[in-house]
Amino acid sequence: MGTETLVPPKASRQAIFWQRFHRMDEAKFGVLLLSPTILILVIFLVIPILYAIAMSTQQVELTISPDWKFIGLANYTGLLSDNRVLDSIPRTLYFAFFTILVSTTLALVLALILNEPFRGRQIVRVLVLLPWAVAPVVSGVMWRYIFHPRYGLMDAILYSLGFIKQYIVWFDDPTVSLSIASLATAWKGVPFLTLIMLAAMQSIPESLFRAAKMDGANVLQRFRYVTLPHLRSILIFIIVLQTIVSLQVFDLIYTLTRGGPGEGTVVLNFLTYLNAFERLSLGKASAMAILLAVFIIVLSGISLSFTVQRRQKV
Amino acid sequence: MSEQKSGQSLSRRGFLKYLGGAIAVAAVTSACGQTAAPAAPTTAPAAPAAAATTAPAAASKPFAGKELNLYVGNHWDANVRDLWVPLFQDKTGAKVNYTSIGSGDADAKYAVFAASQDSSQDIFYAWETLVAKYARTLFEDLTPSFKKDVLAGVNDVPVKSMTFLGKLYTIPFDSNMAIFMWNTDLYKAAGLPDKAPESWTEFADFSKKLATGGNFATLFTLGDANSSFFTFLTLFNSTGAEVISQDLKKIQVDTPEGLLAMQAFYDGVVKDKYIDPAGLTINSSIEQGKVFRGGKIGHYFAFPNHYTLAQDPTQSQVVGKCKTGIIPGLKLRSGSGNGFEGCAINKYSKNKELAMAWLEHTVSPEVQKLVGTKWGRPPSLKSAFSDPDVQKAAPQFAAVAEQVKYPARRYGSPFYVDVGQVFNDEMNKMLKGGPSPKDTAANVQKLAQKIIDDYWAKAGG
Repeated sequence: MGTETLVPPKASRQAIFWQRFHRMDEAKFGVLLLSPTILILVIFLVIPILYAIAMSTQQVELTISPDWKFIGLANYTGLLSDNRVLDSIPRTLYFAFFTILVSTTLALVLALILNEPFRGRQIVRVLVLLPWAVAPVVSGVMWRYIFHPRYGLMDAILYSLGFIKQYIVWFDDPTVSLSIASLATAWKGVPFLTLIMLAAMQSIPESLFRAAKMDGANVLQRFRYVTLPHLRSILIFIIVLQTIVSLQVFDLIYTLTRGGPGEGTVVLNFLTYLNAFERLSLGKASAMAILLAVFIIVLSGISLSFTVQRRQKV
Repeated sequence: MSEQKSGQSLSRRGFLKYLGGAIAVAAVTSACGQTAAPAAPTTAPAAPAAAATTAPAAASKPFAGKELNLYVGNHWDANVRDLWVPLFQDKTGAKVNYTSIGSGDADAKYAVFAASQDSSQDIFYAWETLVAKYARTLFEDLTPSFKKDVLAGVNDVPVKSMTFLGKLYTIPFDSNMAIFMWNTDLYKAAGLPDKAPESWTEFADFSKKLATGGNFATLFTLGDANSSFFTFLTLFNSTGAEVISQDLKKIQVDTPEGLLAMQAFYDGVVKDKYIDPAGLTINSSIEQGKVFRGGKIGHYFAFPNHYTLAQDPTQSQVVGKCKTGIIPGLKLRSGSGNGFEGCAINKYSKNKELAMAWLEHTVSPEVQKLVGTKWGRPPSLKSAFSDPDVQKAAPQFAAVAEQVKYPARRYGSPFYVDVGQVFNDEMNKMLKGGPSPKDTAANVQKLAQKIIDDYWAKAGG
């Protein structure tokens, strides 16, 4: 008797399933919905990261052998005495500094302009976004042609204006090359930064500006004492964000300079690529990638803490 | 309240239904898309003869029903994909799946194949350094398996260059090496005789006369590790000395010959200014050729197919205005650098018999004739040079036949890129007016030797 009553008919089992499904709490349902994404992330992100961590403790030199040999932390300690790594650090810092300086300044100026009412502002706001839509590889090729020593737009303009008598070879100087690479990165990042700054500016109460005006503050003073203090946390966020972008740069350098002249534009992330795919030292490259990732995670943490602080203030 | 909300919005059951429906639609759309546009790799066009072949005839061919996967540089497309592959399909009955990549990206791709021991591709594009880099991990040793009688017909200089530590890993399909090419109009305008200079000194004299009115006489590629090392070698080889010892363990740049080569570049770029400094940012001989074809420079060290391109009015302004000879040497009469290319078999391939048939196909008389007549590259098959059609289509091979008598080593090695990077870095500094040629040779010697020592310490040789 008991067994007969315990096993429900098929139709009622289906009903129970849907009943349970509908009663499932929000958290579980959320996990269910996230599960395909989680699965993809595990396969394409978590497993490769774990694989890279494992590889970073091995000697994997594909020009010598396909075999792995455990060497502990030797790849990490080896980086400290690797001249290429040491040389690429100041380059990376210069690149990051220049990129941040140019992109933040330009974004601030643009945001200030776009925050003011003028005819055609909507169109300008859309146009400003265009560089953001350009793929980094395309951007690299485009900047390469702008500064091409034979057909370059920059040389053509300077020549036609009479500033130069002979075309300049821009990319034969490491500092100039690195600056152009920074400029190209900044150019691409400016639209996004402008949007963030514009949003932050629009959140500043209008009454503050009116009060400042009544107190006799001019445009510069209003910017210095009203706008800038309100943008402080967003500026810090932007700087951290741009530092992360600068540390991750690869595709633009690859298409623009390929690391040249010499190793003049080989920044840390590009060196990781060279170690992996040109020198075939996969263990060393993995160690570099892991260290870079840790550094970026720390920076992201800082960035996040600033965002949280800002929200709490708001 | 939450019940109210869920009652108003989409129920979970409904959501899942819609989700399922959307997935089904997406799957159907994606399947239709695949049918409409086949994904890479592309299947090579079939030869007209192959298309007309009936099924029983195709079945009687040695590899009917089998597939060969080619993974090659995209500079091969117009010749290998469009001309050689249809012939092979017709001959063997096999279907060829052709995938091409930027040649400069081959390293990155091969590293992934080697690391994952991937068997999806059967044939790889190769040249001397790729041979040395991937000999131990990706390329099949062909020494015991490639037909000896076929190999005997192939020029032994490229064959030797495709050999690493005594084993053959690639079958070269050309004997490509740099020769000398000049613009007859510019020579005439500069009052120069219509002949190639016979020594570097004469080359420098000619160049000084050509470099007038803000123009440069010539251009060398020095834009990256590979191009810098190659350019240096092209000149250094004409001293008759050896830059890296036969056992690949000792570099010899800080020598009178090394200094001679460094000094030649220094004088041309810094002192006498007849070499275009734009070359410091150019890494491709293709781009170098374009400058010549634009009528901008008087002479340069060119690969033989550049002559063929220079006769094509769609991409040349110097049609009928250029001639070829051998490269003027520093100590010897001449010297060059090789650009031999060929095909290697993936050691993880599950299709090695068919892959071997492809290698034989690349050095067959019909393909070798195409190498000479259509591509403008010197064939690797010795007998192809005496083919009247080849001789007629490529008069520049007369210069190649002379050039081949002089050294053209490329020194392919597993550390080629690193050593090349040292040349690139140090020569760039020198040519920007930095260290003297003597100091540059000494720096290259020290830094490159360390790279070589480190490699052998790890490799245990």
